[in-house]
Amino acid sequence: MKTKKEIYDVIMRFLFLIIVTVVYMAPFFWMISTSLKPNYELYDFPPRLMPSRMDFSNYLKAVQRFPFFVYFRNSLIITGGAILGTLLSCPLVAYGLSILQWKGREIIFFLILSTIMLPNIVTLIPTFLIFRKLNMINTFWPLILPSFFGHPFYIFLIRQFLLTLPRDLFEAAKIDGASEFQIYLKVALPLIKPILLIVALFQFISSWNDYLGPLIYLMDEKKYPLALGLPQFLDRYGTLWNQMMAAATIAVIPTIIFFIFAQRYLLESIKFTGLKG
Amino acid sequence: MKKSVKKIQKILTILFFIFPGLFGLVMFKLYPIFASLFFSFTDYYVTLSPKWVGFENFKELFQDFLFLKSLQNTFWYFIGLVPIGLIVGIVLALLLVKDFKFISFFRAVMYLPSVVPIYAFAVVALNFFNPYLGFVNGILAKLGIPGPLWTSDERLVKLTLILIAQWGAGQQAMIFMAAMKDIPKELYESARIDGASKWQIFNKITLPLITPAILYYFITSSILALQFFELPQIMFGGGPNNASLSVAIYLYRHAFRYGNMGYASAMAWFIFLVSLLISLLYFKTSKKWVIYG
Amino acid sequence: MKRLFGFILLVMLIVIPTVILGVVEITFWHSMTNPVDRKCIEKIVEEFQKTHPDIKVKIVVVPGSETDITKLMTAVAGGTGPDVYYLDRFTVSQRAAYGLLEPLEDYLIQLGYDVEALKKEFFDFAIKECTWNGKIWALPWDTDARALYYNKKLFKEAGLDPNVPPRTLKELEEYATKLTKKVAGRYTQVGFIPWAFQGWHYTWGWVFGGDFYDEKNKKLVFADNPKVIRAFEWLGEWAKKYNVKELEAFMSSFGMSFSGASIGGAEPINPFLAGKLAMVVDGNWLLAQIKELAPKDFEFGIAPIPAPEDGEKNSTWAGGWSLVIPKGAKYPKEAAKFIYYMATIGQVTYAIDTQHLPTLKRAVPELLRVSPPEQRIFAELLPTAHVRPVIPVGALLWDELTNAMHAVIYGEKKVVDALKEAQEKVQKELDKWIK
Repeated sequence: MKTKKEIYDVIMRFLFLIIVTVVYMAPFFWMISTSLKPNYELYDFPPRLMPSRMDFSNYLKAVQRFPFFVYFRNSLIITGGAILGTLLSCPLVAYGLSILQWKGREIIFFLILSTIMLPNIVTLIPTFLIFRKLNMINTFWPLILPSFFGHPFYIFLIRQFLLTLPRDLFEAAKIDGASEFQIYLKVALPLIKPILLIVALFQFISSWNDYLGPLIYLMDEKKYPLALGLPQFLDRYGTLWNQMMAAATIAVIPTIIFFIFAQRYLLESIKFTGLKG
Repeated sequence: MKKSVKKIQKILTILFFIFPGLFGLVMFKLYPIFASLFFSFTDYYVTLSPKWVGFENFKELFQDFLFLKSLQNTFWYFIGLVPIGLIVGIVLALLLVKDFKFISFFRAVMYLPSVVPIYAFAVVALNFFNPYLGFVNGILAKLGIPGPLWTSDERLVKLTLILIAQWGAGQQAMIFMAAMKDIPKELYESARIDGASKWQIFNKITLPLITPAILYYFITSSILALQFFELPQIMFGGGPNNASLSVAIYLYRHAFRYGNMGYASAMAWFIFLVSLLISLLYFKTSKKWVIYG
Repeated sequence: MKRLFGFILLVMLIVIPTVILGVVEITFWHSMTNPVDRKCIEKIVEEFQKTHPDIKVKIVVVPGSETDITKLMTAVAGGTGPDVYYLDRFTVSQRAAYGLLEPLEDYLIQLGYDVEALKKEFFDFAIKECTWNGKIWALPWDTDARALYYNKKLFKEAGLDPNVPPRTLKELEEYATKLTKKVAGRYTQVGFIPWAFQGWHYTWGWVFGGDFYDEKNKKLVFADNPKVIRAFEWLGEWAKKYNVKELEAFMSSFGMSFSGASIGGAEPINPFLAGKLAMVVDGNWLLAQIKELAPKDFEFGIAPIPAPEDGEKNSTWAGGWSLVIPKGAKYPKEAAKFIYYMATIGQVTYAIDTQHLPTLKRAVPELLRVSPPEQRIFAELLPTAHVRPVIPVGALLWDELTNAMHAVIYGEKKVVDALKEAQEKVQKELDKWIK
């Protein structure tokens, strides 16, 4: 039997959820609605919420505008590589800067964090020169390799969560004779799985939508990712918003799938408690 | 003998873990960062050799009306984005942290705008804030308040941008949710048994225990606010009348539109130093309010 | 037998690589992502390769806007730039001064072309924009022009003859008043907003008969030019009469403002096409937009921009593209050959297929044969079109003039002050480049 207060709680919560849903779904809804509009309805004023008829041909036309599925595949490769690199390096470095106790670790941490404080526009060209020396121009490497060396924000995030783990767990493992790396693998990582998933999700979105990187490093259209495809719809002679949104909708789908998958896993891995306290 | 072997072992272990970070720092960051420092003391048109000008760029910066305006704007972005993002993030997290049926759907919805390409996003935002047809002014009208020109009034665009940026609050909400989930259920149970109110539970249990995540949010969102670029650039081009011009946009303009990477670097280093300072302050004061485990 | 076989193999090993080595591959970057433009360029490249079997052209489409050349600058700085680049013609002098380009003229001369005769094949204004320090660094490609578009249906509703567009500034003002509707204190229809779309500072400065730059003395003169001052004053008066805040409110309901909102430069909704803005100064590209995106019952007309009594009739200015060789190109001679072909033979094909305005004089009649009658007005305006001052700080000048224009429209500064500040700031930068 639920008390009046509890029922009231649930209703309020639901109300809020509805409002949040409406507000947060709006961009997506508009995207799909526009993608189905015929050309002559794009400039209707007041703008229509729903197209008068569903013009699915926009989707067909959108994927013909540029080699859509080639770009899609490239996005997958770049993003997949970056996620791999991030998950391999960031927790490792974060562990070294939080669980391990040593003098100067705060300084090194701050040094790494500070590299993101300089707007990257002015380091674009020197960085380009480095990759030029490495002969990596016109390959995916400049977009994937750096993630194998850690991203300051993700290292920071993981560090924060590692610092909340109880010390005795690690002491116990040490007494049991485990090596530091074993502790890292068997004790630390499993406990921060949710945050690792979040980091993977952030990296996914960052790589998937990255425009500047692919723009300056890729010289071959066949290597372009989707992020370089969407701006191609912008045209002074008439931007076909409907086709652009159709392309955008298709581009968003993998991220949503990734999110739902990651989210389910997040739910499951947090099911166990009793670990802390 | 044993002690020094142990010491070497310890150093090697440490190096093993932080090696990727250190290597990346030296390999990919050191040269570009110092190169840009050098450029800030030059007039550098990229394809011409840099010409040393000493502190000229910095002197000019502080007489540059537009730079000062962009600095002012960026300051407002910082003041607005950081706290508001924190509140929205925590509220969303509180709303969505409890697992119940279909919660995955709602979490996905909250995260969706962060995933949508910025062009789609920008048009929806413009429609939302449309003075005659938009959602926001529609609601204000029902409350009897005349709706302002969200997207064309110089005095309002920054606020509008800050509000629009909240569509991306799902990112920090995720982090706060993860932090909240780490709080042992027993704490909540005993508090409930003790008859604590919802607010007390939040204030005394939830909030303190997510402070590590909040510190992360403060520092990273501050750095990002100081470099706020995409939204104001794509939606307003820095306008109307330079009201939304951020330092990052102005910097980009000088680097690639006018071609002087030197002047742009001076601006960048200014932002760099400010970010350093702010982060240091955050860290120094964090000992007072952040609770780890 | 073995010997013969060996001999043949040897010959092949010598001949084939020589044949292959004899073929040079040049890279060509352009940003025309519109399918029609893109296919046409591919077609021209095909033709070129057929007639020049020793040169292969690799096309790379680069997303990006007109003056945003991040990708090119980075590539050239790193020595990995293309051989041919599609550059906004207005920025040629700036990029040339910054050492971003190879001197095209030198290569054309090396190839034996009569450069002086070549220059005459193009409109003067176009060649002017391609020139810096006495030589040309680019060959002009397509161009654009501005005129007055008006909504015939709205004319009829307001009791105006749909076939008689405003001819003088006075008529423009009168028509605008008749075409403006206000309901409950807010504009539901606006007759004309001078500074919307292509009604730029340059546009009106020239319409009023003014001048911006003294080429001979390399001095900016707009702040002291009475006609430019008059043009800006007129803009300020218009802003006051119609109340700039209310005009802004009107425009922002289309998701745009004249100095701010629009998405990456593109309008979410075009008020002219939506039938709410009766007249607008815009470029010839609006024709294509109307064809693709206007509502089915849209009726429009085009006319030269109305001018004041002592102004310039049939005034317009032109922008457009050009072809250049970025610095450090691997095969500048072959690139020059290709550019020559594109800009001459290729441009005719391009004009016909895409119906963009050409800068090549002999392509104009070809264009008019196939394009709708409205295009004629633009073609007729071309021979006397202005171009923006050809200086290495063109982008800065544009931004400063825009700042000045907005300051005047919003009533923040007096015209004379705004113009003076802009002129001083830009002249200072300009002087750095004049040695």
